[in-house]
Amino acid sequence: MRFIVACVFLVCALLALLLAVSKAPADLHIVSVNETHTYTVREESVFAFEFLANRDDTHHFLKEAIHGAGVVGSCNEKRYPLSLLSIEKNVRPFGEELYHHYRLAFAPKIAGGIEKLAFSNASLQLVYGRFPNLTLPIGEFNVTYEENLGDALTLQAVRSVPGDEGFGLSAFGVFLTLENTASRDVVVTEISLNAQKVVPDLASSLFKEDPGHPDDFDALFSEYERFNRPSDGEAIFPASSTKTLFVPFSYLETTLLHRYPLVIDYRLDNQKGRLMLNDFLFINTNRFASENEEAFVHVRPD
Amino acid sequence: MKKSLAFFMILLFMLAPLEEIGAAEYLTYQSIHFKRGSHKMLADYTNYDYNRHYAQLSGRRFWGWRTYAASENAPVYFKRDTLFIIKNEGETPIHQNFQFKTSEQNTTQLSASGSIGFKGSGEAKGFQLGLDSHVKASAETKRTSYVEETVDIRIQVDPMTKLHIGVYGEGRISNGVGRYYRFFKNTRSGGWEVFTLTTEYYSIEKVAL
Repeated sequence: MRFIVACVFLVCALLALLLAVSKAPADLHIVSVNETHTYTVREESVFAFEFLANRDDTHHFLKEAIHGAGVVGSCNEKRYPLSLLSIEKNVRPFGEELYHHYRLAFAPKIAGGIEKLAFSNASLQLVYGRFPNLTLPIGEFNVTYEENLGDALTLQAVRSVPGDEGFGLSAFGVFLTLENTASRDVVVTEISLNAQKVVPDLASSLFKEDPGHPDDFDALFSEYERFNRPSDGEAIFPASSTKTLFVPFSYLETTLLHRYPLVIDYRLDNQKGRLMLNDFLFINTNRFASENEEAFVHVRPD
Repeated sequence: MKKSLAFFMILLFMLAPLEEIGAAEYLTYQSIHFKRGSHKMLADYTNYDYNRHYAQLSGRRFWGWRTYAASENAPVYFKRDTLFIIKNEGETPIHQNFQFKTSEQNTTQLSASGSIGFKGSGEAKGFQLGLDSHVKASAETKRTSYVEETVDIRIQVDPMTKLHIGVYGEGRISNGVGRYYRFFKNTRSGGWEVFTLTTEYYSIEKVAL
């Protein structure tokens, strides 16, 4: 009898020890990137958002569990509805740990027509059937649509210049080779990325007389001195000329910019013109490689 | 005169590349340059380089690898070939939609010379006989992921022009030499190189036909 009691006691003690030693699962930790999303929307457009999570055993990134999605502004004043297309899952190092990497791709719901939208601090909202909604900050989110006006100015070449201002690899400026096909001067009055936190600085831009740009970035910077400054923040393209313009970007807040459209407003005589390039992925890099914490937003859902 | 000729021949022999390099995609890039320092690609190693690097290997061992890294995660920039071309041989501009899938990030490619070989293929490709674990850079980049993004753009292609998507990028290269021993006998030797792609840049360019 004593032996049985001793055995039961031993088994109970072992079970208690096992329970104490076994680790409770860590709280869910999701990492998002403070990024500038700026798109020109068409029916076939795809928006992608990337997140890291320390766990993959929750419902949060299960396609079957997500019943609805949309982008909301900081005041929840409006919701931009999205249809979930796919979720790609992978593994990626973040700091000293390995995290689960999720890439969520969405299509815009534009049944009511394409609208313009600008959220300076946006979040992706995921709606679940049985669980509370999840709101994940994504940075800035802007959408517009293609709107060309006139054909005096055509784009011959475009190349983004990457740079790291201390918070990760991002677009530092852009090289634009533009051709004026008209028989009169064209004046470029404004260049925009349809973004709020990153603004092209046309007044500080530089001209290069011959078309084309250097093949490597080191040579690119050494050629700056040969450029001539445009005056009064306007760049003049003489009749039937082709010139390369380097336009640096000003960052008003910390953000990463890898994919963006270009909106070039110009004047021919007294008529306004607009040349647009749809959002283009200029830089393909690891968004989570930055060593600066300002580049990230950490979310710990309940 | 004979002595000078002989010396010249020896010098030529010493400077000539020693081994054939196992083909990896990055070796087919249009150009690839180290950002700084006096690093060399494995393909550019001369006899003199091999001998200099082999001299860095400490003595024989009973079994296994002795390795030396001449370059460790040295940053490089490169230019790949053109990704996509649309030709407009007509007389009016055309608006063209095109789509391409971007390459994966943080992927590694390996090359080797001499009697150093590979095992597996594609994502699972590695050096034979466990050389990977001796090459720090390679071991670090084992923790990688595969990310693919589709770029979809609509653009005007002017008459009598063609449109290029240029691909540039940055990466890191580690390379060096290694010798494999069995019962203190050197059975394999050669050079190894690990290329890690970190970032790609895309540009659009129209060129007259």
